[in-house]
Amino acid sequence: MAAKHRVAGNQALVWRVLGGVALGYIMLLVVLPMGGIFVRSFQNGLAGFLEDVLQPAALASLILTIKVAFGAAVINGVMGLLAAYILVRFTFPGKSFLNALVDLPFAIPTSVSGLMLLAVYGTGSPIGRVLEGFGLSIAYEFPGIVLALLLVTFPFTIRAVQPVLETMDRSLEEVAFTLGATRWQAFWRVTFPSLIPSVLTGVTLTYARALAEFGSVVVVAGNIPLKTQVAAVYVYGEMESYNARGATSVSFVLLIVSLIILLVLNYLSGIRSREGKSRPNQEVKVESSAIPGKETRSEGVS
Amino acid sequence: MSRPIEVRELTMEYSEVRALDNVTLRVEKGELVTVLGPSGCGKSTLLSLISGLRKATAGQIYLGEERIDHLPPQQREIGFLFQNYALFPSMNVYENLAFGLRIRKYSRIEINRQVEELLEMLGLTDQAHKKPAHLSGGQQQRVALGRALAPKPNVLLLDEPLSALDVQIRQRLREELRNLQKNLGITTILVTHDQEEAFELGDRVAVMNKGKIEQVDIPQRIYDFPATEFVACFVGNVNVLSGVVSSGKIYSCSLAMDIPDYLKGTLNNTPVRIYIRPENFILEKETNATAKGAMRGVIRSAVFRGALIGLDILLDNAEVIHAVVTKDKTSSKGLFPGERVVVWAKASHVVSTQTAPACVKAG
Ligand SMILES: Nc1ncnc2c1ncn2[C@@H]1O[C@H](COP(=O)(O)OP(=O)(O)OP(=O)(O)O)[C@@H](O)[C@H]1O
Ligand SMILES: [Mg+2]
Repeated sequence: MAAKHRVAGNQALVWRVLGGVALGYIMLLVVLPMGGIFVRSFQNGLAGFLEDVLQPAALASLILTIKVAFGAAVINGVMGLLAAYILVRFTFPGKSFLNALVDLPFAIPTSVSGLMLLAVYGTGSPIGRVLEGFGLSIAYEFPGIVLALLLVTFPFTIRAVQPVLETMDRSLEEVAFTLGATRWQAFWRVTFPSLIPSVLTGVTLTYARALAEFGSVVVVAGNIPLKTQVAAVYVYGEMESYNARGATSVSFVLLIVSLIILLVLNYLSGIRSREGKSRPNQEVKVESSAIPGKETRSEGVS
Repeated sequence: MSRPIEVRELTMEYSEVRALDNVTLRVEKGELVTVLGPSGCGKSTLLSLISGLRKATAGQIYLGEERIDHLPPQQREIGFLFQNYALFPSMNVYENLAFGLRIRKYSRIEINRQVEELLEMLGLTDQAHKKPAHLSGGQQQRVALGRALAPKPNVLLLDEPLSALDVQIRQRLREELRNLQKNLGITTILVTHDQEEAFELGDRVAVMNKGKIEQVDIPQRIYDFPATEFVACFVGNVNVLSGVVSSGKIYSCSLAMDIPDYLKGTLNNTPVRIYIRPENFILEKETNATAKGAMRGVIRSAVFRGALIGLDILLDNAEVIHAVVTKDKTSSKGLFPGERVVVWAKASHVVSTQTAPACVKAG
């Protein structure tokens, strides 16, 4: 008995130590650096911080970042939902290859993604020349940034929606068909409501990732202040020119926006896990009054 | 609104499996036919073809006089209750029931009137605003049933509607289902692997095996006159005795029986299998008198089953048979374990000359 108690006591101690290590790890890697940024941004007080952030180039880069990230999140939210539905519900040749291809943006350096886009849509390329004929230039322009962000973030919504769709009972849509619903009606009325949390998760992740993107944007759209300079690129530029405080102040704003997004994400996944849980089944009360004219039938085995 | 449904020579092949093989079945207006068969025999496939969710490889489907096998499920107006109910998880009970009516663009007042009526009929009025995840199994089953009935379909298809439920409530819901179906007078096909359910619910029972319908008849006749070895084995208990044909009779050991019409003209000494229901044996205590055309053996054990007693009898040829007699008979005739008995058979059911048995079932 006593030995058993000691073992249990030792285990509790082990878990307490491991818990402390995990907490310390998060402190060291996340909380302390955030605190550092905070202290540095406000080393000259609120006035100094505002002065840094309200620099025209700084403010423009922040607004641009928030705008393009929003665009990328909306477009990839819609397209990701469509792609996930098609990848799950239809069979076609090359499907598994296409499915594997979806993760590619995660696996290659983002600067390479940028180069790929330039090669196809850049000024020198045939497609780029056609687009320019329509007055749409990709390289060193606003559409280029959005395109770069779309490429880098497109796995998020697909990969958030796909597993939910896969585990979703196919017979739900089939029942809807037998009740007269078209495929379109069945999707929007039956399937989509269950997908909303995962779509929102995908969109939020896309947005957060787009805020942080550096490599592909700098390759495709360059570093033109007030025009194509996103916040992450601005921060890098200020560091290069020894304006550490300006860099940290803009970084701090980025951090806060990201933090808010991640809190929203956390809240959304909370909703999702709550919806997944059902109350334990209580025993049924079968009211015999439910159907009139009840009678017992005799069994016919002699 | 309710119409007869008929399938003719329906065949369904998945990539390598033939799930349905030339199935023909007609269900009359207002009739309930149960389709009984083991797992994997093609029951769900049959329903999915009738509903239009899958396309048959060959064959025709008629709703009344109208051929419908080219129509998509949306245009067939056939209600389908899935084995797992497939309730819409994001909608509450009311919205689930209203789904088919909303798709048909009924007015809100009309939808409300019909859904309230359904809720009342199914005893679900108090649950109207609950999500399916918060309902018990029995309540979920009723919502699924109500949702299928709401648009007043031509035909109702039920895929194992009660198999997901606890045994205690299954019996209650079985009776409710039966009464509901009769009150509405809706043409219904119910699929099940539960024999008791098939017999209790069906006006007629279709017994299926390996994609084929082996027999369609009223429950009593399926039991008393099984058309095939499979039906004899699958439905109820049965003893399988080996025997041989000899001059217009069949013999199993010393047991003699009349040869059925369909085997008249079979050559002498043809080996046969004889299927006999446990209640179709006549037992007497062995006396010195010769018992013509009977088998002899000893009662090995007796199992009390209420009004009936099950007896295991070890025959002198070492085969074991299982007989069922009424309790009165065991005491009046002194049929107790350890006693020697003579055994006749009232009737045999199926006699087969095929070499491979349709199923192996000890008596
Ligand atoms: N989509 C499919 N692709 C390939 N084979 C299938 C498919 N659906 C069913 N089958 C096969 O067809 C046969 C009949 O299946 P079906 O589901 O109709 O049987 P069932 O009688 O409903 O069985 P259960 O009682 O287990 O539900 C089985 O051998 C099954 O493996
Ligand atoms: Mg099935």
